[in-house]
Amino acid sequence: MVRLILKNLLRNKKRTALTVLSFGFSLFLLVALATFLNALINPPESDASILRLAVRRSTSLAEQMPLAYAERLKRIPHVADVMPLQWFGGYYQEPRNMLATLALDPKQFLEFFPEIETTPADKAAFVSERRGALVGPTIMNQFGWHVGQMITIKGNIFPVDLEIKIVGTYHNVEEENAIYINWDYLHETLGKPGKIGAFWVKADAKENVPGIAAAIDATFRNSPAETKTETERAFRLGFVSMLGNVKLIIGSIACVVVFTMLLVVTSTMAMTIRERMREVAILKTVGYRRIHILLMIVGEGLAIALMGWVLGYLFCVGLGHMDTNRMTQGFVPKFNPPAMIYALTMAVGLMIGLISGLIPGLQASALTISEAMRKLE
Amino acid sequence: MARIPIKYNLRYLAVRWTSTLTTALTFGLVVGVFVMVMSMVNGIEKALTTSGDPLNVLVMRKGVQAEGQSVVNIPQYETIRNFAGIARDARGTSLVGPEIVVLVNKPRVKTGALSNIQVRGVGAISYEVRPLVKIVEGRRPRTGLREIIVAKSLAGRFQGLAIGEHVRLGKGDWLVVGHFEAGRSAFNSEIWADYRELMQEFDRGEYNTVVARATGPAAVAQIKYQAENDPRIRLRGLTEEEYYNQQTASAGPIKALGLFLAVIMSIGACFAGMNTMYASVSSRVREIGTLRILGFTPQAILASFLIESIALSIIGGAIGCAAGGLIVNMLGRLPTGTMNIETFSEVVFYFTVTPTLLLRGMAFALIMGVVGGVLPAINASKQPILEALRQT
Repeated sequence: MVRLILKNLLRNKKRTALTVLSFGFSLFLLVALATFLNALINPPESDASILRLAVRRSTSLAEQMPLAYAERLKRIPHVADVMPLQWFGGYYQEPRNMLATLALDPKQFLEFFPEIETTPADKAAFVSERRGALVGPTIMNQFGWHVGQMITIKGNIFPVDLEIKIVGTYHNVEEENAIYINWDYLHETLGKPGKIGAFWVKADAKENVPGIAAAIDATFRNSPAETKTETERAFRLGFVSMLGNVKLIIGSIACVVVFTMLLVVTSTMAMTIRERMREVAILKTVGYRRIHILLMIVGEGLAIALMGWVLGYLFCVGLGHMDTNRMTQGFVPKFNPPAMIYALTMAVGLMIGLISGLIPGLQASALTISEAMRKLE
Repeated sequence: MARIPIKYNLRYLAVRWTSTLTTALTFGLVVGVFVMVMSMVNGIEKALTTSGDPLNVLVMRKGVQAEGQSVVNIPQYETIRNFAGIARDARGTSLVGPEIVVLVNKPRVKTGALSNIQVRGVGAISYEVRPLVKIVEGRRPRTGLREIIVAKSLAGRFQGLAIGEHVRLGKGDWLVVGHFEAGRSAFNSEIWADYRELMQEFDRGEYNTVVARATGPAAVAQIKYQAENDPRIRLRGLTEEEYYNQQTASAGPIKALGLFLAVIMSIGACFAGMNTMYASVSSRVREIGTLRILGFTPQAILASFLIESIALSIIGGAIGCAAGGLIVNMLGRLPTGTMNIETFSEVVFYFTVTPTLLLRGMAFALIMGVVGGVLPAINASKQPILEALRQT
């Protein structure tokens, strides 16, 4: 039976190859969509990220709150540490060269975010240099910057320009296109207004996180600057939800892709079987039973789907080896779909293979010998 | 050189209608997805580009990309008020006024997910220079009161924005007194309030921008020149049209997604189309042989099969455009929203299909038809006559 399936597959090599290619491309697209959606709605969590909470003004992230809140936040039970955070943004030379500049406390930053990898020397320089900045490799490449260089970041949200010195770079699986600068330097440049955009708060234990969020917001309720405290995960998902119904759009596109694959493979299978009606009749005449015919055709569909999946997988692995970070300008730092998505798309692929074989297979196996003979063209 | 009649191809497509339909549907789905995604891009760009009035000049700080980032202080405003080239209304009032914008984070209707809405603090002049904004229910906010009006399309998308409801903006509650419509422009995604009240609410001592109505195109340049070169202010003037056009970058990621999808899907569809065409060539080997004996050249056969593939893709493209257009037409009645990257706030838009977009969809289908058909057509034209006829 397996030999029969293989023989049939190899009979029209061009057709099999084309179907497999078509299937492979579609599966690759499906993996890419699923990976993108997964990265958006399931930001990776680590032991460190689970303890982090973001505190901002309840009005919106664009409003500021008193810097003195830091001391009050530290006194809230189970708060292990509090770090100032201010989005500076800015641009380099031209407004279209937008930058993701974040001002924070250098020493606390590397304790809060152990996933940011940097060398001890770079770390020491970032902590000690007042104007020091850690710059992501993507940005370094984009503008051809090097460590030790002085850069002027023009302010857009704030009416000041910053003179920073690149003291080092960092690595992070999720993003490598930010610029981290010293909050004290920014605050001083602004003339010490005593206001800040947000705080990162670290909880002492995982189970205390929800309690802390509620306690912080209760502390500042009915004050001139009410706060909204969220876990890191919720904080990030907030940005995604602002993009609109991404889930629905990507989900429906994925459905269309699956349907297209189904259409392509099914029509190929139907085409193949139609041309082979006489053989089906002969096989039946020499004693093959209905179930054999069905299995043979379904097996062929499954084999095509499996080959298509392997091809799609190879595309994905190939893309994973390419510098997607540079190609997408930091939008996709690394294309590395989780195993779960490969497994899921394989299941979808095999399902399509099964259905595509089942429809013509049932038709062919149900035919009587004389009908099949008559169907010849 | 004799051409094979197109009727021959069309009849064949009709006889083999199942495989014609499935292949056309494959092309159609690709075109449909392309049309739908691009209609979002169109919608966002339209929402932003139709907002701008070429005679309204916004004066703002140099180097900023969004109104919210700009700062114009009161002495600067006093200077701008006396600029030459500013229009006057029937009562002789100079059409220039300060505005502020703030963001408020509010929950969406269905999901409760929070999103930013831009609140614009306006004066009476703001209504005069933006005739697009029309109150459709209720009334304008009164000066000196904590009252707001909300874009009608926004009221349906966020919780608690119906007339008569109280909304917390900064420190206190504000009463919704009206709903307005503003065509399909970016003002459709805003809440408007009296600027003095709003400045108090958010502890602002300065304005964000100043809007000035120019008397004509020449006055626009005049106002811009004064904004940039008056030594007392050193600001920048740009027309509303220019301001909103530079924000269309917000549609960039969706555009990239649309192109990525269309390219990858169309490669897959080309292979499927090739498959169908090869099958139809191999089932017509004898016919091809007969055509050759009748005197048709290999070139004529090649052209004929290519035309058949193109016809297939045109059917597919038509299906895709029709289906995509139909769905978009249904969706298009409802506003939908995404984040404006520049202002960091919700921009409401409508899916928009244009004739150009449909033509681009058809062009896409045509390319797929040619790419998918060329190899099988060459294959057909190279069939040796004698062997072809000998085949049973």
